[in-house]
Amino acid sequence: MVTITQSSDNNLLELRNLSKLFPIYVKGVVRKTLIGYIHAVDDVSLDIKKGEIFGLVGESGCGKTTLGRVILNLLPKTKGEVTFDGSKIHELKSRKEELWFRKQAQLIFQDPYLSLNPRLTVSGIIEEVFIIHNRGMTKKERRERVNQLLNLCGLEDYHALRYPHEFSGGQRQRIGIARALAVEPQLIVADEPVSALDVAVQAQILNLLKDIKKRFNLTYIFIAHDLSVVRHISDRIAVMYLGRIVELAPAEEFVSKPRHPYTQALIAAIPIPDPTKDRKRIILIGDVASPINLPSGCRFRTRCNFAKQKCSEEEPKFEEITPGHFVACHFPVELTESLI
Amino acid sequence: MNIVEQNINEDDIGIPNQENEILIEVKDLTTYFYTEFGIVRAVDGVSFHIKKGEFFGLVGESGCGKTVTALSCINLVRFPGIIEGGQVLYKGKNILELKDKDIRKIRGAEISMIFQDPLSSLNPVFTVGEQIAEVIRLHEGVKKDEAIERAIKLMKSVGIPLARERVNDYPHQFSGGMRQRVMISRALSCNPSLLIADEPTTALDVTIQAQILEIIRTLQTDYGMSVLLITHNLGIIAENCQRVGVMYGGHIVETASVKIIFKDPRHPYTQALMAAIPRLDESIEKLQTLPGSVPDLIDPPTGCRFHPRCQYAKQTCSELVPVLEKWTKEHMVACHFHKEFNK
Repeated sequence: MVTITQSSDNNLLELRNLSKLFPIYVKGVVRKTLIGYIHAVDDVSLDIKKGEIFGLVGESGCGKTTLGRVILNLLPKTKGEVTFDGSKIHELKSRKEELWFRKQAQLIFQDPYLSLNPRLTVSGIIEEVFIIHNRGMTKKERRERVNQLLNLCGLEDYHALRYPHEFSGGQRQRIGIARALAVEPQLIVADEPVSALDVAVQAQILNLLKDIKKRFNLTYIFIAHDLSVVRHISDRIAVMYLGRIVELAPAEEFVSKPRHPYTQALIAAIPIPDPTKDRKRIILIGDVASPINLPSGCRFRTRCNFAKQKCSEEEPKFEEITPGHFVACHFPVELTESLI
Repeated sequence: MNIVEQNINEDDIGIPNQENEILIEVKDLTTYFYTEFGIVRAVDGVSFHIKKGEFFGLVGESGCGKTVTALSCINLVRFPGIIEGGQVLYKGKNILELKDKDIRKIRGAEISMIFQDPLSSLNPVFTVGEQIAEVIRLHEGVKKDEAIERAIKLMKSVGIPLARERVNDYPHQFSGGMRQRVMISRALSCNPSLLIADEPTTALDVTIQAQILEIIRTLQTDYGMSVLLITHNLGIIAENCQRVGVMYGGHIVETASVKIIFKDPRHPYTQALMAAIPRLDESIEKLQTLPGSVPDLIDPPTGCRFHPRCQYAKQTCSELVPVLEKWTKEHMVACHFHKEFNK
């Protein structure tokens, strides 16, 4: 079901029919029996362009974190392939090749409390990167580089000798960003980097991420459940539902002219801090279907207000309906009024 | 249905009539926590009121005292927290001076509460039906069968499908959104006059959040219930509440009707908070940020608690604690210089 255009030099990352299924076993007396799979990521094809911020939104359990991890080869794929800068990253043979990829692509985690080793100082945490990737560096050079990185992320030199517990959530996230930048990567996957933070701190971190992106010409995959945040930072936005990408469009168009009923409901559900607006409300029925026993046909049809016969029979293809705007829906809805 | 649209004309606010009767009034509420590190001044002289049938929001960052304020309102603060002073006048009675026996009659019946995490506020070893019925039986003394029957009705009214079959299920068999519905149906079981909702949708996905808020709004208009909604999300405030109080460091720094506060925020903190949120309907290049971090309430800054982070701070701000002053009708601001600067 690939309808995406041919690969071009502009693409940093290409995903082709990527799937990740998690098997579920029931433990019996003698052996484990396979009873099914969780379809975390199912047949996703995408191109990430060099230098863009690609936003990935979706509700909990839709597979966005899994997709981010499979892209980084932190989880093995089940099917399909991921090509980074011409190399298939799930087929890297040697330790050397793996190290090369790790230098190119880094991850920023959601929970700044769990993603830093509590027994190392900040300096220790970041120096570890150089010990692995830049073996020739002397201790003095490493320390200097750590200070540079900390200053870049809005921290001071003296912070280097402190332990993670001495920092606030926002400062810890800055440390996480400094660590990701240490290898001078091309791609950063940021998995819910601001969802654990208060609004004032969230604004600081979003500004920092934007600044360093410009400064080092990075490419981001920005994963979050908060569409307002994703819209603020991203150039293009994709929305996932039960392992599938259902809509992909440039950020502006994504919020102003969404075509998939799910995207529309998602946008209408985001509260906007402006009491003078009288917005259309779309209330979806029920909960997300089980990722184990997927509904037949379109996965969203169980909650869709527009579902017809065809939706339960045939799975919609992910197709380009206007340039750069992809939708997986049999009956894409044309909006008559703005949702925001 | 848009509640925000109704009833908020700057001129007709404050005219005493049936609609504007005050249901609960909090005066100078002070709650401290006596910890081994020192006294945490979590709530320090908070005053606000909620009218009958009003949707009142309390907004602020984590640790500003929103939840402790709500818990103090129904005298549910546990040791090491102690309510040091102030009054909570509910229908003329001071809740803080009531005997345990008397306050139990109010809690759950006249004032009920829903919390952020429905799983930890439901008992895992009882079915949801039993838990809803328990409240009804306790307050109204009806038989178990009848209470269960009413529980089923309540579960239907908040949109739990197959309520009759599910009444015998345990909390773990429900999804997050459904659990929150169970909590709401339990909270509403005795037709309370005031519902305190403490971050009721923070743990839920946005589409589910929309469902839950829709239920609360419908019930509020249908039964004329008052709601105290606690949240950190200004969008939720704008779309649901009629009036709002902004909290910072254990103080209320500004209260006004929602329409006015979003149009003309007077307190520098309210202004900063609004400029810091990314918005769906606008493209902003750079978000405004606040320097520093939330104050340590063991050793709060002298004078105005916001002054170390305030761009307008002057000498007076570090010396004198500002009190809530009237700016316009029903628009109160606690800032020494709120008259001097514009947005």
